[in-house]
Amino acid sequence: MSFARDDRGRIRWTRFRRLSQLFFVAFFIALPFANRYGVVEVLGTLASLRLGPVSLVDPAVGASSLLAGGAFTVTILTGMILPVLLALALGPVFCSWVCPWGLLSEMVDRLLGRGPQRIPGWLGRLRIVSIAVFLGLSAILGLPLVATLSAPRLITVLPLEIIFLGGASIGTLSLLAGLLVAELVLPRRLWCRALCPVGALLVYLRTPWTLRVNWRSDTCDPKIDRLKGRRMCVWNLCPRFLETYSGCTNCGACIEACPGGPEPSLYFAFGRRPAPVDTSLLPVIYSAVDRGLEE
Amino acid sequence: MSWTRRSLLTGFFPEELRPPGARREEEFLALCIKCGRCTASCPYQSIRQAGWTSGLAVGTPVIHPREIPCYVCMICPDVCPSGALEPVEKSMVDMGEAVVDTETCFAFLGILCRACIDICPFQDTAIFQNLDLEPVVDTEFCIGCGLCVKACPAEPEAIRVICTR
Repeated sequence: MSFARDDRGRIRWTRFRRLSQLFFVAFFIALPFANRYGVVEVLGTLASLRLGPVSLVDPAVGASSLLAGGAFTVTILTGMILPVLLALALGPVFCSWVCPWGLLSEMVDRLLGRGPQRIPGWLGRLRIVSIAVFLGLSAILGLPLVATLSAPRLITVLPLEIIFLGGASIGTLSLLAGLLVAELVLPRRLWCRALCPVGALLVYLRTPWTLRVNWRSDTCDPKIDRLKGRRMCVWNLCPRFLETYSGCTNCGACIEACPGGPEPSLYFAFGRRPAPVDTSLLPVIYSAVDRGLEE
Repeated sequence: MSWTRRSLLTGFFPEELRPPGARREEEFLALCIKCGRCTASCPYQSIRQAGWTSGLAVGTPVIHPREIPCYVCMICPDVCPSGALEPVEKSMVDMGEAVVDTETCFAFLGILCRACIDICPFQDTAIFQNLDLEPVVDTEFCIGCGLCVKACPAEPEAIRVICTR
């Protein structure tokens, strides 16, 4: 029994994830104080962050700005590289390990005691529609609409306004209030899961070699069906029926909840691992082959 | 197409002042990602976020000179990642033009006042006193920083900056 591992000796992913989320919350609250003391080497929000010589730009926000203006700067292009590489390697971990709105959304979800919901299939496909609408409207309006409605930007610009300027702006407050209402009214975490253009783009950056949850067919309990399997997932996904673009953010909650000993049937691995051969049938096969040879 | 888009973006209210080095309004709106880097870099807390009066441009950086004007330190264009703000020479900044309200300006009412002239970073070129001791703005040299708006003792202010980008 320790902080990092539970009594079965398995890694407590959620604890590490909370630490990571809280680190970013603390970072974006501390940053405006530093800025008030004249620090300009580190500044910004989750739309774009300056870390000394490095600039980071949210890929969806950057793409939206590119489409809106038809013009771009080197900073916008190079700023998207690291976030894109992160998503290509580790999947949309930004949503589950970084985004403060994600943390807030999880807390609301928990307070409301929402469990697995029966969600119509077309809701899951909203993600691609969301990207198309956001990017399309950005181009038509000539305005980076993703930036306007990006939850990670709004939630990190709020402490900047309160601490640095001495008061939140009406625009930021009203948009955040709108998102909160969406959180309460819409099906479980629908904004994060399907509507948020930032997360949607990250989901589609997955490749066949990206870090994902795998499962061992030899130890996985066949009695756990789709509905039971998704009970632990805040996104209502069953780890046994994961597809590349299902929307899994690699939060690790299912791995942690997986029943059994120190070696869970679910595990993180890069890409899809081939299912191990079912060795329990081997003696039967051998004996059949032997008999065939004898006859 | 352009005018409907513009009214949707900026609403039907007069345009607000942008930080120094801002591009033409249409280009500015297309590029600005509202990341807040200019806001956080301003040592005077001059740069605020636009409200819904700016339409869909809500969240873009604006300056309200009567509250806190722009001191033209030119830090913000250097930290802008999107190119919505471009580094330019101080004298080439064009945020707008100051306009004196001759009805309410103390100097025009016969009271000796040169608050706006004294504060101007381009004193005697952008704003100067005529022979009647009244302030006159030369729009060619005025960069629209709004320091005069802040300094004006009249209530409401007798000098405003009109956005001309």
